[in-house]
Amino acid sequence: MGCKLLGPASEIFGETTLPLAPGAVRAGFPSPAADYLENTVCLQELLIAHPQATFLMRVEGDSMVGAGIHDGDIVVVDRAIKPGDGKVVVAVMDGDFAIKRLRYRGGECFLESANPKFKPIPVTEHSENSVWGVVTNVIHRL
Amino acid sequence: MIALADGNNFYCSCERVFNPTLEGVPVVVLSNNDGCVVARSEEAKALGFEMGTPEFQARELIETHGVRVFSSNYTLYGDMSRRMMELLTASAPATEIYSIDECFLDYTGMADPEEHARRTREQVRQWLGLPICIGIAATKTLAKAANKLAKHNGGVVMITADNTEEWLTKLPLDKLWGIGRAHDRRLRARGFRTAWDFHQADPAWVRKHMGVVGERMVRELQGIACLSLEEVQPDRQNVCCAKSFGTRLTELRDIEEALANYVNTSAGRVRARCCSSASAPLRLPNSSETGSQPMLDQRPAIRSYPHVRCLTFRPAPAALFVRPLHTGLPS
Repeated sequence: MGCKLLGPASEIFGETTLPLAPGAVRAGFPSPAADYLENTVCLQELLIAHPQATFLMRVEGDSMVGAGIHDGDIVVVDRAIKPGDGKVVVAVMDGDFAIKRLRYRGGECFLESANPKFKPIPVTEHSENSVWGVVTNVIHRL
Repeated sequence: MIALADGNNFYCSCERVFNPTLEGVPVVVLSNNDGCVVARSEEAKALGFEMGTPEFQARELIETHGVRVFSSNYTLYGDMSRRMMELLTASAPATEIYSIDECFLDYTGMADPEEHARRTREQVRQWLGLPICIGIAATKTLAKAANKLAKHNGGVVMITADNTEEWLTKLPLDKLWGIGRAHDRRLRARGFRTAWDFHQADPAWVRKHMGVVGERMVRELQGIACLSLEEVQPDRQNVCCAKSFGTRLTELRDIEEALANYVNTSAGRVRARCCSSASAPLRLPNSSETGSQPMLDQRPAIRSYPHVRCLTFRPAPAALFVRPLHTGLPS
């Protein structure tokens, strides 16, 4: 599963704030409380903790479907976050970018796919350098 | 203390962040219209690529060594520069952004400037993937010198009163801020070799031969601050639009079309600053002396525009200068 860099985040999201409907959204009958709107949400703030360190990438492939990341989605990648066990990361593999889950098992480091079709890949050396950034959010069009 | 932070081989490093295959291989970035080399990775420098070499002259070296070549992508470099400057600005109480990849930082009163610089450097590397160097000293000129020395000394160098001689003897004269080719030649003829030699120069002699600017440089090297941090950029005095032609131009019509484009760009920049101007000198290149194909045949232009001042530049891009700028629109 590869990924392609998109433009600067601020150009894509802009600074626009959007109104937020009160209460949680039920996946069934619409809440009658949603007659009026309060609060506003800035997508930029919601999705991006470290603006200077954040890059957006377009996902290619289906190796991370199990983690809710689909072909054509946009991932928000934050380089300021320290990669750790269980984090979904953009890794550099053979000169290409790939989205994988980072796993530490018995002192060894693996890059796992979230799709049984793909086997975990052991990271032999320079493991820290092979992680480009940590994926914090997925933007998925329904 | 003043620090100078700058990106190593900035444009090449920006390309590398988003293209892992470029790691460890020679990379060069070309100017607008792929005219000449404007950035080189360390590997490319080692192969002998020089700044400003026209692409056609570098082509053989490029092909022999399989050098990866990129057209400049100013949208990318501008975005990475903005990110870097935001981090640097947050790292010090006052800053002066000096160029797309250089920034002076006010380190006055900082308890451990070297450690702070190392942390800033590591943050930029981690957050942006960009390698930077930071030079720290009492004056801007010394900070510039420290920054140059940092390139091959672990990324951070601090020049203090105690180690000035040790560091400045390691810095060749022409690496000093403000020493161009002419000054370098004159100083070498006098026996100066390193920045330390210039530091020791007789101020009266320097003032006589290099004016107040030269004298100021010596004082700055001696740790006496003459240049302050300029947080607000002074208004620009000139606008310049300089580009190489993509192909050799021989027809007046084509030259006029290209120049109309430059006028358009320059006028847009002048208007954007709410200024006006009464003169716009034009420079047309003539590279016939190089023995290679000139990029432009000046003859038709000279015939049709006898009042156009043609200068011989080699190998220079065509350029349109607009100067000086007057605030306000023409009356």
